[in-house]
Amino acid sequence: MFSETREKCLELFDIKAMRNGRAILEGINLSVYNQEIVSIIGPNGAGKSTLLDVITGFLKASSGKILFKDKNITYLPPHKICHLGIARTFQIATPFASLTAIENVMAAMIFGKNLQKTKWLKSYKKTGKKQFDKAMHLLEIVGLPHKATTRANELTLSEQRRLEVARALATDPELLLLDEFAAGLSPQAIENALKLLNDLRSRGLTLLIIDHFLNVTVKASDRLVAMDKGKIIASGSMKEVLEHPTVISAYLGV
Amino acid sequence: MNETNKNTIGFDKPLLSIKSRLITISTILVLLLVPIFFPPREDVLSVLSMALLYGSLACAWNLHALSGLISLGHAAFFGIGAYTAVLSTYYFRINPWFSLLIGGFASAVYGAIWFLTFFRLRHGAYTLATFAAAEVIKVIVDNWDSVTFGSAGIGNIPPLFNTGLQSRWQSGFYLIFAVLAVFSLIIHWSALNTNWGLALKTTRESEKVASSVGVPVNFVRLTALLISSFMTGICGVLYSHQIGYIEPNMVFGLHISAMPIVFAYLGGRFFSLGPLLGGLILYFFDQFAMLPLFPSAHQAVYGLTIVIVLWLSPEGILSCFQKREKSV
Repeated sequence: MFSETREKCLELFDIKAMRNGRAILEGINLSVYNQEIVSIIGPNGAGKSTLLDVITGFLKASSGKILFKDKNITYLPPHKICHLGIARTFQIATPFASLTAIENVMAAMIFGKNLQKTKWLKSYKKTGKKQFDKAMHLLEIVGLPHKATTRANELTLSEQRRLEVARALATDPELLLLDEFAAGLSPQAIENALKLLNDLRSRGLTLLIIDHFLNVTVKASDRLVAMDKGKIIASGSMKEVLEHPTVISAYLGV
Repeated sequence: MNETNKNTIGFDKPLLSIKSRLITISTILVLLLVPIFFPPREDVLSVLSMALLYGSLACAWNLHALSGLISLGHAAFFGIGAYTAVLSTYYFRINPWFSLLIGGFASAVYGAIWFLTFFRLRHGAYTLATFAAAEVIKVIVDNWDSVTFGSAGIGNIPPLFNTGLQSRWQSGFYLIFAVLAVFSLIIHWSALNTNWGLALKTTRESEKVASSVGVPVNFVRLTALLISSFMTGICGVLYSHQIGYIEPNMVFGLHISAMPIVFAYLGGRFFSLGPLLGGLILYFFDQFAMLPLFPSAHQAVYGLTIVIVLWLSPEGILSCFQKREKSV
Protein backbone atom coordinates (compact mmCIF):
# COMPACT_ATOMS: atom_id res chain seq x y z
CA MET A 1 0.00 0.00 0.00
CA PHE A 2 1.17 3.52 -0.72
CA SER A 3 1.20 4.51 2.92
CA GLU A 4 3.99 2.04 3.67
CA THR A 5 6.45 4.33 1.99
CA ARG A 6 5.48 7.25 4.18
CA GLU A 7 7.05 8.04 7.50
CA LYS A 8 5.48 6.58 10.57
CA CYS A 9 3.82 9.08 12.87
CA LEU A 10 2.66 6.89 15.71
CA GLU A 11 3.58 3.34 16.58
CA LEU A 12 2.15 1.17 19.30
CA PHE A 13 3.94 -2.01 20.32
CA ASP A 14 2.02 -4.63 22.26
CA ILE A 15 0.16 -2.13 24.44
CA LYS A 16 -1.55 -3.59 27.47
CA ALA A 17 -3.59 -1.49 29.86
CA MET A 18 -5.73 -2.06 32.90
CA ARG A 19 -8.55 -0.07 34.38
CA ASN A 20 -9.73 -0.84 37.91
CA GLY A 21 -7.84 -4.09 37.85
CA ARG A 22 -9.51 -5.24 34.66
CA ALA A 23 -7.52 -5.68 31.47
CA ILE A 24 -8.97 -3.36 28.85
CA LEU A 25 -6.28 -3.48 26.18
CA GLU A 26 -4.60 -6.77 25.48
CA GLY A 27 -1.69 -6.30 23.17
CA ILE A 28 -2.40 -3.54 20.66
CA ASN A 29 -0.01 -3.15 17.73
CA LEU A 30 -0.75 -0.23 15.49
CA SER A 31 1.09 2.08 13.13
CA VAL A 32 -0.22 5.36 11.84
CA TYR A 33 1.57 7.07 8.98
CA ASN A 34 1.98 10.76 8.41
CA GLN A 35 -1.01 12.54 6.97
CA GLU A 36 -3.12 9.46 7.17
CA ILE A 37 -6.69 9.34 8.42
CA VAL A 38 -7.20 6.19 10.42
CA SER A 39 -10.48 5.29 12.01
CA ILE A 40 -10.90 2.94 14.89
CA ILE A 41 -14.27 1.25 14.93
CA GLY A 42 -15.70 -1.25 17.29
CA PRO A 43 -18.63 -1.95 19.56
CA ASN A 44 -19.07 -0.38 23.00
CA GLY A 45 -16.46 -1.46 25.49
CA ALA A 46 -13.98 -2.49 22.83
CA GLY A 47 -11.31 -0.26 24.42
CA LYS A 48 -11.24 2.50 21.82
CA SER A 49 -11.36 5.42 24.23
CA THR A 50 -8.95 3.66 26.56
CA LEU A 51 -6.53 3.42 23.67
CA LEU A 52 -6.69 7.21 23.22
CA ASP A 53 -6.20 7.66 26.96
CA VAL A 54 -3.09 5.49 26.81
CA ILE A 55 -1.66 7.36 23.81
CA THR A 56 -2.22 10.76 25.44
CA GLY A 57 -0.83 9.70 28.81
CA PHE A 58 -4.03 9.79 30.86
CA LEU A 59 -3.76 6.10 31.52
CA LYS A 60 -0.38 4.45 31.85
CA ALA A 61 0.13 1.34 29.79
CA SER A 62 0.96 -1.64 31.99
CA SER A 63 3.29 -2.88 29.30
CA GLY A 64 4.28 -2.04 25.77
CA LYS A 65 5.78 0.93 24.05
CA ILE A 66 4.41 3.97 22.24
CA LEU A 67 6.57 5.85 19.76
CA PHE A 68 5.60 9.22 18.38
CA LYS A 69 7.91 10.38 15.60
CA ASP A 70 10.44 7.83 16.89
CA LYS A 71 10.32 9.28 20.39
CA ASN A 72 9.21 7.09 23.25
CA ILE A 73 6.20 8.74 24.90
CA THR A 74 4.92 5.76 26.87
CA TYR A 75 5.45 7.22 30.31
CA LEU A 76 5.19 10.93 29.67
CA PRO A 77 2.52 12.97 31.47
CA PRO A 78 -0.37 14.31 29.34
CA HIS A 79 0.83 17.89 29.13
CA LYS A 80 4.25 16.84 27.81
CA ILE A 81 2.62 14.65 25.19
CA CYS A 82 0.57 17.65 24.19
CA HIS A 83 3.72 19.76 23.84
CA LEU A 84 5.23 17.13 21.58
CA GLY A 85 2.35 17.56 19.18
CA ILE A 86 -0.48 15.18 20.01
CA ALA A 87 -3.85 16.80 20.65
CA ARG A 88 -7.10 15.12 21.45
CA THR A 89 -10.78 15.70 21.99
CA PHE A 90 -12.91 13.91 24.51
CA GLN A 91 -15.80 11.54 24.09
CA ILE A 92 -17.95 13.82 26.20
CA ALA A 93 -17.33 17.39 25.05
CA THR A 94 -15.78 19.21 27.98
CA PRO A 95 -14.96 22.80 27.16
CA PHE A 96 -13.78 25.11 29.93
CA ALA A 97 -17.34 26.05 30.81
CA SER A 98 -16.78 29.48 32.31
CA LEU A 99 -14.49 30.64 29.51
CA THR A 100 -15.81 31.99 26.25
CA ALA A 101 -15.25 30.07 23.04
CA ILE A 102 -12.28 32.14 22.01
CA GLU A 103 -10.79 32.00 25.51
CA ASN A 104 -10.92 28.23 25.31
CA VAL A 105 -8.89 28.37 22.13
CA MET A 106 -6.49 30.96 23.47
CA ALA A 107 -5.84 29.00 26.64
CA ALA A 108 -4.76 26.09 24.47
CA MET A 109 -2.57 28.42 22.43
CA ILE A 110 -0.87 29.77 25.54
CA PHE A 111 -0.11 26.41 27.17
CA GLY A 112 0.09 24.11 24.19
CA LYS A 113 3.65 25.14 23.47
CA ASN A 114 6.97 24.76 25.11
CA LEU A 115 6.40 25.81 28.70
CA GLN A 116 9.83 27.30 29.09
CA LYS A 117 8.60 30.09 26.86
CA THR A 118 5.41 30.59 28.84
CA LYS A 119 5.32 33.98 30.48
CA TRP A 120 3.59 32.92 33.67
CA LEU A 121 3.27 36.39 35.05
CA LYS A 122 1.95 38.09 31.94
CA SER A 123 -1.67 39.14 32.07
CA TYR A 124 -3.61 36.65 30.01
CA LYS A 125 -6.31 39.11 29.14
CA LYS A 126 -3.96 41.16 27.01
CA THR A 127 -3.53 39.16 23.87
CA GLY A 128 -1.72 40.34 20.82
CA LYS A 129 -3.52 40.89 17.53
CA LYS A 130 -1.63 37.99 15.99
CA GLN A 131 -2.78 35.52 18.62
CA PHE A 132 -6.31 36.83 18.45
CA ASP A 133 -6.40 36.45 14.68
CA LYS A 134 -5.06 32.95 14.92
CA ALA A 135 -7.69 32.00 17.48
CA MET A 136 -10.41 33.51 15.30
CA HIS A 137 -9.05 31.62 12.33
CA LEU A 138 -9.29 28.36 14.23
CA LEU A 139 -12.86 29.15 15.17
CA GLU A 140 -13.57 29.85 11.52
CA ILE A 141 -12.14 26.48 10.56
CA VAL A 142 -14.68 24.75 12.78
CA GLY A 143 -17.40 27.20 11.87
CA LEU A 144 -17.82 29.04 15.15
CA PRO A 145 -16.56 32.59 14.54
CA HIS A 146 -19.95 34.08 15.38
CA LYS A 147 -19.88 32.40 18.80
CA ALA A 148 -16.42 33.65 19.77
CA THR A 149 -17.58 35.62 22.80
CA THR A 150 -20.22 33.16 23.92
CA ARG A 151 -19.54 31.23 27.07
CA ALA A 152 -18.72 27.63 26.31
CA ASN A 153 -21.48 26.28 28.54
CA GLU A 154 -24.03 28.21 26.50
CA LEU A 155 -23.03 26.50 23.26
CA THR A 156 -25.01 23.60 21.89
CA LEU A 157 -23.57 20.13 22.10
CA SER A 158 -22.46 20.05 18.48
CA GLU A 159 -20.89 23.50 18.86
CA GLN A 160 -19.05 22.30 21.95
CA ARG A 161 -17.70 19.37 19.97
CA ARG A 162 -16.45 21.68 17.26
CA LEU A 163 -14.97 23.97 19.87
CA GLU A 164 -13.07 20.96 21.22
CA VAL A 165 -11.56 20.46 17.78
CA ALA A 166 -10.57 24.12 17.57
CA ARG A 167 -9.04 23.94 21.03
CA ALA A 168 -7.10 20.81 20.12
CA LEU A 169 -5.87 22.48 16.93
CA ALA A 170 -4.74 25.52 18.90
CA THR A 171 -1.92 23.49 20.42
CA ASP A 172 -0.42 23.09 16.93
CA PRO A 173 -0.59 19.30 16.84
CA GLU A 174 0.87 16.98 14.26
CA LEU A 175 -1.36 14.15 15.33
CA LEU A 176 -4.99 14.78 16.19
CA LEU A 177 -7.02 12.19 18.07
CA LEU A 178 -10.77 12.63 17.77
CA ASP A 179 -12.92 10.66 20.18
CA GLU A 180 -16.48 9.98 18.99
CA PHE A 181 -16.16 12.92 16.69
CA ALA A 182 -19.37 12.36 14.78
CA ALA A 183 -21.64 11.22 17.58
CA GLY A 184 -24.85 13.16 17.70
CA LEU A 185 -24.20 15.19 14.58
CA SER A 186 -26.95 15.90 12.07
CA PRO A 187 -26.46 14.69 8.47
CA GLN A 188 -25.64 18.25 7.41
CA ALA A 189 -23.08 18.57 10.21
CA ILE A 190 -21.54 15.27 9.17
CA GLU A 191 -21.01 16.62 5.66
CA ASN A 192 -19.22 19.60 7.20
CA ALA A 193 -17.22 17.33 9.44
CA LEU A 194 -16.02 15.31 6.49
CA LYS A 195 -14.90 18.46 4.77
CA LEU A 196 -13.14 19.52 7.93
CA LEU A 197 -11.26 16.23 8.21
CA ASN A 198 -9.95 16.41 4.67
CA ASP A 199 -9.11 20.04 5.16
CA LEU A 200 -7.07 19.18 8.25
CA ARG A 201 -5.23 16.42 6.44
CA SER A 202 -4.28 18.81 3.67
CA ARG A 203 -2.78 21.04 6.36
CA GLY A 204 -0.38 18.24 7.17
CA LEU A 205 -2.14 16.68 10.14
CA THR A 206 -2.41 13.01 10.86
CA LEU A 207 -5.76 11.95 12.23
CA LEU A 208 -6.83 9.06 14.38
CA ILE A 209 -10.58 8.98 14.75
CA ILE A 210 -12.76 6.90 16.96
CA ASP A 211 -16.21 6.29 15.72
CA HIS A 212 -18.81 4.08 17.21
CA PHE A 213 -21.23 4.51 14.35
CA LEU A 214 -19.81 4.15 10.91
CA ASN A 215 -21.11 7.38 9.48
CA VAL A 216 -18.11 9.65 9.16
CA THR A 217 -15.27 7.23 9.31
CA VAL A 218 -16.31 5.15 6.40
CA LYS A 219 -16.24 8.07 4.00
CA ALA A 220 -13.20 9.93 5.18
CA SER A 221 -10.61 7.48 6.28
CA ASP A 222 -7.76 5.82 4.42
CA ARG A 223 -7.73 2.89 6.71
CA LEU A 224 -10.04 1.27 9.20
CA VAL A 225 -9.00 -0.53 12.34
CA ALA A 226 -11.62 -2.67 14.01
CA MET A 227 -11.31 -3.41 17.72
CA ASP A 228 -13.17 -5.75 19.98
CA LYS A 229 -12.55 -6.79 23.57
CA GLY A 230 -9.23 -4.99 23.78
CA LYS A 231 -7.76 -6.45 20.64
CA ILE A 232 -7.43 -5.36 17.07
CA ILE A 233 -9.49 -7.83 15.08
CA ALA A 234 -9.09 -6.42 11.61
CA SER A 235 -7.24 -3.68 9.85
CA GLY A 236 -7.08 -2.47 6.29
CA SER A 237 -9.22 -0.77 3.70
CA MET A 238 -12.84 -0.05 4.35
CA LYS A 239 -14.07 -2.94 2.27
CA GLU A 240 -11.68 -5.42 3.82
CA VAL A 241 -12.59 -4.52 7.36
CA LEU A 242 -16.32 -4.18 6.96
CA GLU A 243 -16.57 -7.52 5.24
CA HIS A 244 -14.30 -9.25 7.69
CA PRO A 245 -16.29 -12.04 9.37
CA THR A 246 -14.94 -11.30 12.85
CA VAL A 247 -15.97 -7.64 12.55
CA ILE A 248 -19.45 -8.55 11.43
CA SER A 249 -19.88 -10.95 14.29
CA ALA A 250 -18.52 -8.40 16.78
CA TYR A 251 -21.01 -5.78 15.63
CA LEU A 252 -23.94 -8.09 15.40
CA GLY A 253 -22.99 -9.94 18.54
CA VAL A 254 -23.16 -13.37 16.94
CA MET B 1 -19.29 43.43 19.64
CA ASN B 2 -16.72 44.69 17.19
CA GLU B 3 -16.29 48.03 18.88
CA THR B 4 -14.75 46.47 21.97
CA ASN B 5 -11.10 47.01 22.60
CA LYS B 6 -9.14 44.68 20.35
CA ASN B 7 -6.71 43.97 23.10
CA THR B 8 -9.18 42.37 25.42
CA ILE B 9 -11.84 41.08 23.08
CA GLY B 10 -12.94 37.58 23.77
CA PHE B 11 -11.92 37.72 27.36
CA ASP B 12 -14.20 38.88 30.11
CA LYS B 13 -14.28 42.58 30.02
CA PRO B 14 -12.42 43.81 33.07
CA LEU B 15 -14.54 45.34 35.76
CA LEU B 16 -12.65 48.60 35.45
CA SER B 17 -10.86 50.45 32.70
CA ILE B 18 -7.15 51.17 33.02
CA LYS B 19 -7.76 54.69 34.24
CA SER B 20 -10.20 53.63 36.91
CA ARG B 21 -7.84 50.79 37.80
CA LEU B 22 -5.13 53.31 38.60
CA ILE B 23 -7.64 55.22 40.68
CA THR B 24 -8.59 52.02 42.50
CA ILE B 25 -4.97 51.14 43.23
CA SER B 26 -4.13 54.59 44.53
CA THR B 27 -7.34 54.69 46.57
CA ILE B 28 -6.45 51.40 48.21
CA LEU B 29 -2.95 52.62 49.02
CA VAL B 30 -4.18 55.94 50.40
CA LEU B 31 -6.86 54.24 52.47
CA LEU B 32 -4.29 51.85 53.87
CA LEU B 33 -1.95 54.70 54.76
CA VAL B 34 -4.53 56.97 56.40
CA PRO B 35 -4.39 55.27 59.82
CA ILE B 36 -0.62 55.76 59.90
CA PHE B 37 -0.74 59.50 59.53
CA PHE B 38 -3.99 59.99 61.41
CA PRO B 39 -3.95 57.28 64.06
CA PRO B 40 -7.50 56.39 65.07
CA ARG B 41 -8.56 55.09 68.45
CA GLU B 42 -6.59 52.14 69.64
CA ASP B 43 -9.51 49.72 69.38
CA VAL B 44 -10.25 50.81 65.82
CA LEU B 45 -6.60 50.35 64.90
CA SER B 46 -6.48 46.91 66.46
CA VAL B 47 -9.62 45.78 64.66
CA LEU B 48 -8.29 47.24 61.43
CA SER B 49 -4.98 45.41 61.82
CA MET B 50 -6.65 42.12 62.57
CA ALA B 51 -9.11 42.61 59.72
CA LEU B 52 -6.19 43.12 57.32
CA LEU B 53 -4.54 40.01 58.73
CA TYR B 54 -7.66 37.91 58.27
CA GLY B 55 -8.23 39.43 54.85
CA SER B 56 -4.70 38.40 53.83
CA LEU B 57 -5.36 34.97 55.27
CA ALA B 58 -8.46 34.74 53.11
CA CYS B 59 -6.40 35.74 50.05
CA ALA B 60 -3.86 33.03 50.87
CA TRP B 61 -6.58 30.44 51.36
CA ASN B 62 -8.30 31.39 48.14
CA LEU B 63 -5.04 31.08 46.21
CA HIS B 64 -5.13 27.38 46.94
CA ALA B 65 -8.88 27.16 46.43
CA LEU B 66 -8.47 28.69 42.97
CA SER B 67 -6.71 25.52 41.91
CA GLY B 68 -10.01 23.73 42.49
CA LEU B 69 -9.44 22.22 45.92
CA ILE B 70 -11.17 23.45 49.04
CA SER B 71 -9.03 23.26 52.14
CA LEU B 72 -10.44 23.05 55.63
CA GLY B 73 -7.03 22.75 57.20
CA HIS B 74 -5.25 26.03 56.66
CA ALA B 75 -5.01 26.38 60.41
CA ALA B 76 -2.18 23.85 60.11
CA PHE B 77 -0.11 26.34 58.11
CA PHE B 78 -1.14 29.19 60.36
CA GLY B 79 -0.15 27.34 63.50
CA ILE B 80 3.02 25.81 62.09
CA GLY B 81 4.15 29.26 61.00
CA ALA B 82 3.40 30.73 64.42
CA TYR B 83 4.93 27.91 66.46
CA THR B 84 8.03 27.48 64.29
CA ALA B 85 8.82 31.18 64.41
CA VAL B 86 8.16 31.61 68.10
CA LEU B 87 10.02 28.44 69.12
CA SER B 88 13.00 29.16 66.88
CA THR B 89 13.27 32.62 68.40
CA TYR B 90 12.88 31.15 71.88
CA TYR B 91 15.35 28.28 71.55
CA PHE B 92 17.93 29.68 69.17
CA ARG B 93 17.55 33.43 69.73
CA ILE B 94 16.90 33.94 66.06
CA ASN B 95 16.04 37.44 64.95
CA PRO B 96 12.22 37.67 64.77
CA TRP B 97 12.37 39.06 61.24
CA PHE B 98 14.35 36.05 60.15
CA SER B 99 12.08 33.68 62.01
CA LEU B 100 9.20 35.24 60.12
CA LEU B 101 10.65 33.69 56.99
CA ILE B 102 11.45 30.43 58.79
CA GLY B 103 7.81 30.21 59.87
CA GLY B 104 6.65 30.77 56.31
CA PHE B 105 9.02 28.15 54.92
CA ALA B 106 8.06 25.61 57.58
CA SER B 107 4.44 26.01 56.52
CA ALA B 108 5.41 25.65 52.88
CA VAL B 109 7.19 22.40 53.72
CA TYR B 110 4.00 21.12 55.31
CA GLY B 111 2.21 22.28 52.15
CA ALA B 112 4.60 20.18 50.08
CA ILE B 113 3.83 17.20 52.31
CA TRP B 114 0.12 17.77 51.72
CA PHE B 115 0.73 17.82 48.04
CA LEU B 116 2.62 14.54 48.09
CA THR B 117 0.24 12.70 50.40
CA PHE B 118 -3.09 14.05 49.11
CA PHE B 119 -1.96 13.75 45.51
CA ARG B 120 -4.87 11.59 44.42
CA LEU B 121 -7.60 13.04 46.60
CA ARG B 122 -10.23 15.38 45.22
CA HIS B 123 -13.36 17.17 46.37
CA GLY B 124 -14.82 16.02 49.69
CA ALA B 125 -12.09 13.50 50.41
CA TYR B 126 -9.43 16.18 49.95
CA THR B 127 -11.26 18.64 52.21
CA LEU B 128 -11.65 15.98 54.87
CA ALA B 129 -7.97 15.05 54.59
CA THR B 130 -6.88 18.67 55.02
CA PHE B 131 -9.10 18.98 58.07
CA ALA B 132 -7.53 15.85 59.52
CA ALA B 133 -4.03 17.06 58.66
CA ALA B 134 -4.62 20.19 60.74
CA GLU B 135 -5.94 18.16 63.66
CA VAL B 136 -2.91 15.88 63.60
CA ILE B 137 -0.49 18.78 64.02
CA LYS B 138 -2.71 20.35 66.64
CA VAL B 139 -2.71 17.24 68.78
CA ILE B 140 1.07 16.83 68.41
CA VAL B 141 1.72 20.41 69.47
CA ASP B 142 -0.84 20.09 72.25
CA ASN B 143 0.88 17.08 73.77
CA TRP B 144 4.57 17.54 73.10
CA ASP B 145 4.94 19.56 76.28
CA SER B 146 8.72 19.39 76.52
CA VAL B 147 9.18 21.25 73.25
CA THR B 148 6.02 23.18 72.54
CA PHE B 149 4.85 23.80 76.14
CA GLY B 150 1.65 21.96 75.24
CA SER B 151 -1.77 23.37 75.92
CA ALA B 152 -0.37 25.92 78.35
CA GLY B 153 0.74 27.88 75.34
CA ILE B 154 3.56 30.35 75.03
CA GLY B 155 3.22 33.81 76.45
CA ASN B 156 5.23 37.00 76.47
CA ILE B 157 6.07 36.79 72.81
CA PRO B 158 7.88 40.02 72.04
CA PRO B 159 6.56 42.23 69.27
CA LEU B 160 8.27 41.99 65.91
CA PHE B 161 10.23 45.11 66.70
CA ASN B 162 10.58 47.24 69.77
CA THR B 163 8.94 50.63 69.64
CA GLY B 164 9.54 51.53 73.23
CA LEU B 165 5.81 51.87 73.74
CA GLN B 166 3.64 49.79 75.99
CA SER B 167 0.75 49.22 73.65
CA ARG B 168 0.93 46.72 70.84
CA TRP B 169 -1.78 48.47 68.90
CA GLN B 170 -0.07 51.31 67.15
CA SER B 171 0.58 52.52 63.67
CA GLY B 172 4.03 50.92 63.47
CA PHE B 173 2.50 47.46 63.65
CA TYR B 174 -0.43 48.52 61.58
CA LEU B 175 2.04 49.27 58.80
CA ILE B 176 3.17 45.64 58.81
CA PHE B 177 -0.37 44.45 58.27
CA ALA B 178 -0.91 47.05 55.56
CA VAL B 179 2.19 45.79 53.75
CA LEU B 180 1.01 42.21 54.21
CA ALA B 181 -2.36 43.12 52.75
CA VAL B 182 -0.76 44.80 49.73
CA PHE B 183 1.42 41.75 49.09
CA SER B 184 -1.57 39.44 49.42
CA LEU B 185 -3.55 41.59 47.03
CA ILE B 186 -0.80 41.52 44.43
CA ILE B 187 -0.48 37.74 44.65
CA HIS B 188 -4.22 37.27 44.63
CA TRP B 189 -4.53 39.55 41.63
CA SER B 190 -1.97 37.55 39.73
CA ALA B 191 -3.75 34.32 40.61
CA LEU B 192 -6.73 35.67 38.72
CA ASN B 193 -5.21 37.62 35.87
CA THR B 194 -1.88 36.23 34.75
CA ASN B 195 -1.20 33.23 32.55
CA TRP B 196 -0.53 31.34 35.77
CA GLY B 197 -4.01 32.37 36.84
CA LEU B 198 -5.43 31.12 33.57
CA ALA B 199 -3.67 27.82 34.19
CA LEU B 200 -5.28 27.69 37.65
CA LYS B 201 -8.65 28.44 36.11
CA THR B 202 -8.39 25.71 33.49
CA THR B 203 -7.12 23.28 36.13
CA ARG B 204 -10.08 23.90 38.40
CA GLU B 205 -12.57 23.62 35.54
CA SER B 206 -11.23 20.29 34.36
CA GLU B 207 -7.92 18.82 35.25
CA LYS B 208 -8.10 16.32 32.45
CA VAL B 209 -8.90 18.81 29.73
CA ALA B 210 -6.35 21.29 31.08
CA SER B 211 -3.56 18.76 30.84
CA SER B 212 -4.73 17.76 27.37
CA VAL B 213 -4.05 21.29 26.16
CA GLY B 214 -0.65 21.40 27.79
CA VAL B 215 -1.26 22.87 31.24
CA PRO B 216 1.13 21.23 33.73
CA VAL B 217 -1.63 20.76 36.27
CA ASN B 218 0.53 19.33 39.03
CA PHE B 219 3.04 22.15 38.78
CA VAL B 220 0.24 24.70 38.87
CA ARG B 221 -1.40 23.04 41.86
CA LEU B 222 1.89 22.73 43.70
CA THR B 223 2.88 26.37 43.19
CA ALA B 224 -0.56 27.53 44.32
CA LEU B 225 -0.39 25.39 47.47
CA LEU B 226 3.19 26.39 48.28
CA ILE B 227 2.54 30.11 47.94
CA SER B 228 -0.72 29.75 49.82
CA SER B 229 0.86 27.85 52.70
CA PHE B 230 3.82 30.22 52.85
CA MET B 231 1.54 33.24 53.08
CA THR B 232 -0.65 31.55 55.66
CA GLY B 233 2.46 30.77 57.70
CA ILE B 234 3.54 34.41 57.55
CA CYS B 235 0.06 35.43 58.73
CA GLY B 236 0.45 33.02 61.64
CA VAL B 237 3.81 34.47 62.66
CA LEU B 238 2.55 38.04 62.53
CA TYR B 239 -0.50 37.02 64.53
CA SER B 240 1.62 35.48 67.27
CA HIS B 241 3.83 38.56 67.55
CA GLN B 242 0.83 40.84 67.60
CA ILE B 243 -1.24 38.98 70.18
CA GLY B 244 1.84 38.08 72.21
CA TYR B 245 0.47 34.71 73.24
CA ILE B 246 -0.24 31.48 71.39
CA GLU B 247 -1.72 28.17 72.34
CA PRO B 248 -2.69 25.22 70.14
CA ASN B 249 -6.41 25.90 70.22
CA MET B 250 -5.88 29.48 69.13
CA VAL B 251 -3.69 28.96 66.10
CA PHE B 252 -4.67 25.43 65.09
CA GLY B 253 -8.38 25.83 65.82
CA LEU B 254 -11.07 25.16 63.28
CA HIS B 255 -12.06 28.83 63.31
CA ILE B 256 -8.70 29.72 61.74
CA SER B 257 -9.45 27.31 58.91
CA ALA B 258 -13.04 28.39 58.54
CA MET B 259 -12.64 32.14 58.73
CA PRO B 260 -10.77 32.60 55.44
CA ILE B 261 -13.41 30.47 53.69
CA VAL B 262 -16.17 32.70 55.02
CA PHE B 263 -14.35 35.91 54.11
CA ALA B 264 -13.36 34.70 50.65
CA TYR B 265 -16.84 33.50 49.75
CA LEU B 266 -18.45 36.57 51.20
CA GLY B 267 -16.25 39.06 49.42
CA GLY B 268 -16.24 37.16 46.15
CA ARG B 269 -13.70 34.47 45.44
CA PHE B 270 -13.16 35.42 41.85
CA PHE B 271 -12.44 39.09 42.41
CA SER B 272 -8.97 40.37 43.15
CA LEU B 273 -10.26 42.45 46.04
CA GLY B 274 -12.87 39.92 47.17
CA PRO B 275 -11.30 38.04 50.08
CA LEU B 276 -9.59 41.11 51.57
CA LEU B 277 -12.74 43.18 51.34
CA GLY B 278 -14.78 40.32 52.75
CA GLY B 279 -12.43 40.17 55.72
CA LEU B 280 -12.49 43.92 56.30
CA ILE B 281 -16.26 44.26 56.04
CA LEU B 282 -17.24 41.22 58.02
CA TYR B 283 -14.66 41.59 60.78
CA PHE B 284 -15.51 45.26 61.27
CA PHE B 285 -19.19 44.49 61.20
CA ASP B 286 -18.69 41.76 63.75
CA GLN B 287 -16.52 43.74 66.12
CA PHE B 288 -18.28 47.10 66.00
CA ALA B 289 -21.89 46.22 65.25
CA MET B 290 -22.60 42.67 66.30
CA LEU B 291 -20.54 42.48 69.45
CA PRO B 292 -21.96 45.65 71.10
CA LEU B 293 -25.51 44.97 69.93
CA PHE B 294 -25.73 41.27 70.65
CA PRO B 295 -22.99 40.56 73.18
CA SER B 296 -24.08 37.02 73.89
CA ALA B 297 -25.60 35.97 70.58
CA HIS B 298 -23.28 37.77 68.21
CA GLN B 299 -22.04 34.61 66.61
CA ALA B 300 -25.56 33.51 65.76
CA VAL B 301 -26.26 36.88 64.15
CA TYR B 302 -22.90 36.61 62.44
CA GLY B 303 -23.90 33.27 60.97
CA LEU B 304 -27.25 34.67 59.91
CA THR B 305 -25.54 37.59 58.17
CA ILE B 306 -23.38 35.19 56.19
CA VAL B 307 -26.41 33.16 55.15
CA ILE B 308 -28.32 36.25 54.05
CA VAL B 309 -25.41 37.78 52.12
CA LEU B 310 -24.67 34.52 50.32
CA TRP B 311 -28.36 34.06 49.61
CA LEU B 312 -28.59 37.49 48.03
CA SER B 313 -25.34 37.25 46.08
CA PRO B 314 -23.97 33.71 45.90
CA GLU B 315 -20.79 34.89 44.26
CA GLY B 316 -19.92 37.39 46.91
CA ILE B 317 -20.52 41.03 47.71
CA LEU B 318 -18.40 42.27 44.82
CA SER B 319 -20.47 40.42 42.24
CA CYS B 320 -23.28 42.90 42.91
CA PHE B 321 -21.17 45.57 41.22
CA GLN B 322 -20.36 43.48 38.18
CA LYS B 323 -22.28 44.36 35.06
CA ARG B 324 -24.58 41.53 34.25
CA GLU B 325 -24.23 40.10 30.79
CA LYS B 326 -27.42 40.30 28.84
CA SER B 327 -28.23 36.90 27.49
CA VAL B 328 -29.24 37.28 23.86
